[in-house]
Amino acid sequence: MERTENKSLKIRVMLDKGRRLVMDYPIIFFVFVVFLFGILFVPYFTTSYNMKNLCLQLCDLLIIACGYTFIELNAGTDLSATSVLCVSSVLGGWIMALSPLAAYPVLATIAGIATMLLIGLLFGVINGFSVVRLKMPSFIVTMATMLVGQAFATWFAQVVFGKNSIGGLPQPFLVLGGSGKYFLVPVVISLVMFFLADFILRRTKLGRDIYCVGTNPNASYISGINVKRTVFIMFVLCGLFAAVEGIVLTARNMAAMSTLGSTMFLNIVSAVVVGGTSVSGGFGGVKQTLLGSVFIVILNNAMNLVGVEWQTIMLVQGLAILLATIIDFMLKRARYTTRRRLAE
Amino acid sequence: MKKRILAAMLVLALLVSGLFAQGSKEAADDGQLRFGAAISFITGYYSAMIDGIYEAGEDLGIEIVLLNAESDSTKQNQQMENLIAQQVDAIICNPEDSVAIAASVQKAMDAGIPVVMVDRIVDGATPSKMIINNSYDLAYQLVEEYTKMSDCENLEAPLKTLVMVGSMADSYAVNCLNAMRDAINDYPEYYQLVAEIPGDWNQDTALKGLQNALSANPDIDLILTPSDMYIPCIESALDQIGCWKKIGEEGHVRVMSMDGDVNGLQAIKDGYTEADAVIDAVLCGRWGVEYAYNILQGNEVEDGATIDLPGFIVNYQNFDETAPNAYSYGDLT
Repeated sequence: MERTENKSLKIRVMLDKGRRLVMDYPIIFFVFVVFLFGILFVPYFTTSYNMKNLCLQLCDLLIIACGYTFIELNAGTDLSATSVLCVSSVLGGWIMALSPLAAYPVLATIAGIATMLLIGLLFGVINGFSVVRLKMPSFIVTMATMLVGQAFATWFAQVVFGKNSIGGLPQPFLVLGGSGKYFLVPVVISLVMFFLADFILRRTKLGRDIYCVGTNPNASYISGINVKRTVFIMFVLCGLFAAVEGIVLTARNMAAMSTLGSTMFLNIVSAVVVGGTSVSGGFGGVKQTLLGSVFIVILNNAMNLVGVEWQTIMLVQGLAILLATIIDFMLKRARYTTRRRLAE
Repeated sequence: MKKRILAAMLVLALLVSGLFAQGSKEAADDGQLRFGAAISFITGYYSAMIDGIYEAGEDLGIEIVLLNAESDSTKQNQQMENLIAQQVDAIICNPEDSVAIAASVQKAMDAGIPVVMVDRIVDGATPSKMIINNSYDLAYQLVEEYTKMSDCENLEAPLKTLVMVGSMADSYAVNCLNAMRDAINDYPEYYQLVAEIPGDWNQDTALKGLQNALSANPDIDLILTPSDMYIPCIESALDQIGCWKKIGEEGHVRVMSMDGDVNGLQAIKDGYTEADAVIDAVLCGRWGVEYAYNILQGNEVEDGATIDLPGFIVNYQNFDETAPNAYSYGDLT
């Protein structure tokens, strides 16, 4: 009798844990379904070339989406994340392809990468400072820096390149985009950035502070958390992650472009929100963002391979975002109920 | 527990992947030729080009996989990678950015997939063929021919001219801009360049830029545009200041355009605009498919050669004779 009761208790605990997994990672079921759909019905989906494509296309989104997760955890906005891409791309491209340093490929690559990271840092500092010190809403600040960034990138490209993009980047830099046999390089960079973000969020005090501030800034302040410092660091991290994405994307495209990332913002937000990070802050993480990015990349890839028309792709993407947001709100309540029950 | 569930799902996915991988490949291999068409974005002109691609595909028994990059170079590169992964037999590519597309074109060529560029060139790789109109010559011809029309006889002063600009990442837009600038400089007794309005191939951006330019220069005489996609913006902006008038009416502002799509020709037919340089978009799409097909049949070589698309000028005086030769003539009302 006691044995049967123990067994049923174990089953209940297992079911509760399974339920919690789905609630923490609501997108996991959809990722699995879309992956299975690809395997079963999409021609060439499982070829090694396409798997390589999926990995590289994931790199095009994952790093910047991980950076944006910090902002989303605080229910904030960073519209300028995509401007970091274009500004760092044109300035880094100029250093590597047109400046006097261009004659020394390795040196030019190092200088270019350093400049690109500095651009990300600069955007993060400006955004963070304006939000924390000047008490400006993040939407307004980042919209301003986005516009300034885009205008600067366009102006710089027109004046210096005479067009919107330039090739001729040094070979050591192109390796970062997976050129030739180095396809694993951007994958490794993306994974390192992903694990770094995950480490920050789960293993450091800063990570715990980010969740606290995202959940309730006033309570966090009363608890002794330096809210301003935490918010400032979130923007800096977002800027830096965007800069790393700028490096990978510029190398992937083998061209520095003033239009780099101009239409990417929707995909970034989709990856974060569809993944399961709450739009109202305080819940989520980069694991959710990874799943969201995988979902979007596989969805696009599979529909391209099937030959679905572009209007349908946009429609499906839009519906996926809508569905994910509805599920997010539905799960929010269920999440607390389950946790309470588990605690009991 | 979480990790176990995740691992189980992953293992299951991999197992199914292994089982069905072969089946998927076989399912796609039905013997019919499949061409990918990577288009930069959709306008009236590109819609006509897509029609040409589909028409040629139907005539030759080729399945067309159409992808639209929505003006995003990175997205277009990903779509090119996806087309290579599908192992399409050839790719018809209309690049968003001539430089940024080079890496993808090279990848496709390396994978043994012929790539025919349509409407825009690739800068940094050698494709199989490039089918482009000589946009510089055609834009120059558009501006030059107008000086010979009766409208330009007895001009009291050079026409104050606004030039609309496409995207500077686009070789076509840059060629048109350079040609228009050069023609204006070469005929100073007829034209005076007042402003250039960046539109970035975005109608909203173009409309706002034009409204601002017209506020600063209300006495403008002529608007030159590299695409008929801007005609609705021009109509809207001129209408707001009461200058969208028919030729000969008081306050009419001259408009000359390029593309030859239904917007441009309809405006000429209705008597609102002066001239349109017609580039045969349907033929451009058709040739893209036909050249790729001939390369696969061994009737053409992959030498990266440029094939010139024919172009001609339709104006309100020769409309009845020349417009029927335009691809969009059948759509006019």
